[in-house]
Amino acid sequence: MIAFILDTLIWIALYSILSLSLSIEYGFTGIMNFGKALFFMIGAYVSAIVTLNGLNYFIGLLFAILFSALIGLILSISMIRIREDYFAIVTLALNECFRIILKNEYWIAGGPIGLRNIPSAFPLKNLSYEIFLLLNLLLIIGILLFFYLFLRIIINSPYGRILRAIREDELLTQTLGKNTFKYKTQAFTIGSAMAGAAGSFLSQYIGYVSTDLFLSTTTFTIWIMCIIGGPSNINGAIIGALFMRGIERGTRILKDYVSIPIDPNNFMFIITGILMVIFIMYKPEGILREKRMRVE
Amino acid sequence: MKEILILKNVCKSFNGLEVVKNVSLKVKEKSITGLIGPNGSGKTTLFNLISGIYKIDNGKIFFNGERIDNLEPYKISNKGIIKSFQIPRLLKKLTILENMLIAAKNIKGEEILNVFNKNNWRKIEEENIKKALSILEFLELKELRNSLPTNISGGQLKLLEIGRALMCNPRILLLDEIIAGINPILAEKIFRKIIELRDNFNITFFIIEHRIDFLFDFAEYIFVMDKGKIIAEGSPKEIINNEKVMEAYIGEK
Repeated sequence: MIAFILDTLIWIALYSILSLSLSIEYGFTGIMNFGKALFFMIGAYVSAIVTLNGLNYFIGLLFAILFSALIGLILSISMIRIREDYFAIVTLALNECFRIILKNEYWIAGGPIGLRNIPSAFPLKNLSYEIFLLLNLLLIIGILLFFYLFLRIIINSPYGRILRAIREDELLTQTLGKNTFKYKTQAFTIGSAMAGAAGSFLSQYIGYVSTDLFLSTTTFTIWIMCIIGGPSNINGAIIGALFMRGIERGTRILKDYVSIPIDPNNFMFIITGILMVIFIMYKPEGILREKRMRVE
Repeated sequence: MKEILILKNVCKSFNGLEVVKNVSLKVKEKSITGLIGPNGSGKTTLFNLISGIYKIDNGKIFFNGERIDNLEPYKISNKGIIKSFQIPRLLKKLTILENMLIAAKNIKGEEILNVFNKNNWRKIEEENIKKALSILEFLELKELRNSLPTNISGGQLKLLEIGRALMCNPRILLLDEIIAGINPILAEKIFRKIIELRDNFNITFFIIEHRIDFLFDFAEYIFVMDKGKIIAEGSPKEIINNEKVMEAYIGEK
């Protein structure tokens, strides 16, 4: 039971990072990134390759962050000027392109088999499973806390105000003398780096990566978390992850106590779908809404 | 006085429809210059061309002796050319005060690498807030500083639009029908403020306005546009007695 709880907490923290990364892109800057799983995947693979070559996990983490930020920067420079709905389509397609290339090219990272036996960040012998989970939980909470504080400073500064202005009206923000292109590129790069860090943690935690872990459904899960929690609130992003993972794990436990005529996995999807519709119709700003500046 | 803004043979068409035809004009520094004309004569398009929102097809635009027609809107804005929008464009989920602050400059606080050291930008931010509050007070909007633009009236939105333009430290303000929908007493107050700003801060004003009574009282020079062309220019007195202008507005005798 303790292991189950720890594992659940780890997944909540992991998805909180992803949801936060979408929050800075979509919730604050208005960038429709439907390729979140792509950067998650890049981080996981880069970190896996680095650690499989014998380097320390934390070097792998650093590489994962830098590499996904770099890819994010290159992609955003080339396409951030297109209109947001087209941007969503392009990122969705790119996600699939990268994934299918990785899946079919053996020489890059094992093709469909993926990478196995990725060393853990805590390669200690005689470690009980609970301690292993606890260490991982501390690691992921550390990463989450770092990004959380990072974003909190950013969004409460004049910089964050410009991001929010871009979300509301990009042209207007431009006529007020702000280089919106630069700001959008930076926000996208930050979001990509965060997703990369999450991927890096995943690869060492579960010990293997394959392209099937990074389907577009991952992206959509992150979107649902972000929208339900409140995209324009960094606490909301975490609440969203908690809420969604709670439903997922809750339905699994529920089947032990209540007999439901459908598979608990499907039941989870049904609940998620219904919730999504309810939120978009009646509470589009999410559980926690955007904080407003108050001046006396 | 020297000319701060010069347009030379500026042309613009949308899908073959010529909206601005060969327009040349000069705006003197520290002047209040008006631009009038019937609906659809291309006034707003001309402002959009100056501020870089649309790219011109042909011609040249000079600001302070420097060519600006090939620059991006934010660069033009940073040179000191600020435009207000005819239909107020506001940031709907930012408070009134934040809508003002977004127009201010805080060089340090706007750079990602500098935001982590609050001492870098807090002082300028506080000064900007002070300035914004004083402008809001003048526009009778101070009480609403913490509410959203979706909760205030149409006239107040127009006022906020003016307030935001004043936050930018402009050298020239392009004001597009600023007093439409504003009560006459406040409108007069706004024009008096415009003169005060011109005298104290050397700001040039280029104003589109349908309320000719106000404009002719305050402006020194008027351009008249019709069907994409400048059909007349001169002092308000000359314009009133110009037959071409009468024809454009009322039709031929």
